[in-house]
Amino acid sequence: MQVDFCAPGGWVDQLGESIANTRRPIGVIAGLLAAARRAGWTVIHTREGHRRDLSDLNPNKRWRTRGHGLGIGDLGRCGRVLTRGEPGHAIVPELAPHPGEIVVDKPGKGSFHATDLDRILRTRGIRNLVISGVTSDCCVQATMRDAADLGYECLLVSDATAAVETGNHDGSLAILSAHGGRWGAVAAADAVVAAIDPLA
Amino acid sequence: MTLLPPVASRPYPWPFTGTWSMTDTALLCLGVQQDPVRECAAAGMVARLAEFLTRWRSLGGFVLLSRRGYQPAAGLPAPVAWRNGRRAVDRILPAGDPGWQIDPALAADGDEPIVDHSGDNAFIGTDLGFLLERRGIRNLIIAGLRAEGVVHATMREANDRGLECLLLEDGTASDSPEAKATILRITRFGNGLFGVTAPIAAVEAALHAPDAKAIPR
Repeated sequence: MQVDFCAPGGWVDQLGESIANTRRPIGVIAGLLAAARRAGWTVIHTREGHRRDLSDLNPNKRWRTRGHGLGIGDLGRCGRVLTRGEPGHAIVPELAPHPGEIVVDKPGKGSFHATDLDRILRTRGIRNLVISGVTSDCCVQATMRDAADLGYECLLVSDATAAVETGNHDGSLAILSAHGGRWGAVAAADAVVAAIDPLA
Repeated sequence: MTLLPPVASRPYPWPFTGTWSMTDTALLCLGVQQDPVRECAAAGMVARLAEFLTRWRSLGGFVLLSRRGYQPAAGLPAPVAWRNGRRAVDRILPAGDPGWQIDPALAADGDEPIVDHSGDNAFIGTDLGFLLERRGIRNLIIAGLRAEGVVHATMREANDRGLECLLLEDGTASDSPEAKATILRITRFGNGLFGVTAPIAAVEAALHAPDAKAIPR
């Protein structure tokens, strides 16, 4: 849920794409986060982005994103696109990590690729993941698929995720919901909050 | 080494470097096993792929096959096993089960490697990444079943690893045409979110292009 994906002036916005879809889940996720924090859950934020020397940026990823006119590592209105330490790389203020919460920085779309996420989860004895964020066709789906393969029990919060393109979002949710939930379950945030916080 | 011209793929001509060769490219044929072939009614796809593999091999191309399944003695992670037991289709089968076998038309040629993976992402818990690195592979042509399962999960990881991927549009299938269409669209989104897609014929055209330049090794 980074500025570059979901906030005015971020990368997606600068590319002339609408950020209406990627902003929509912010309020829902804020509610989920509040409930999870009250219940004492482990909260993990992920940020897609690259080291400042771009040593972890695959050449084809850079080339493809430069095809849009503004590629990863290039200087835009929110600093260098998807580059660690830049304003655009930060999580939107509404969902900013609280002190002590885990932040995983990742160079890929899948959150397990070239990160210590699996190690973090195993160290804490985590078996179940409730997943939210953007985008449903990209980082969210990649992370849920790999988590399922690794043996984590996943629940995707359907109204706490979105994609830039509505068609890609709808198609992704259809795939992830098929066959009784191929990689885990799908539920709306209200149902999750009701289970976390029955008295809320 | 012969440098080959780009493939007429979408959304851009593949690979991004402009040229490729049989030495820096692998053909991944993922999960074309008897059960998914039957469930996806993919006999036509298998026949097309078998023809393509024959030509690919005749040019000295590297083929890597994969099988999804699990060792009965090892089992599956509990959540995966539970979901697997509730599904009527797309089930992860124990190694040795008839439905687990690779379709005979796409059997390994001699000692060609077969990667066994227990989930959809063929990189997880396997030597796939190691095999590709050892051979200096930079480009992947990807085929197999199902489009929204093994194929897409593996292509995502390959892309994160920096491999330049091309998905064969008529070399993959699903029992859900909508799911396959979604995967092709997401793959191409935003100048190639996960790479490109092309029909087998487009790759064949590049393989046999008259302007392919022979470069002495």
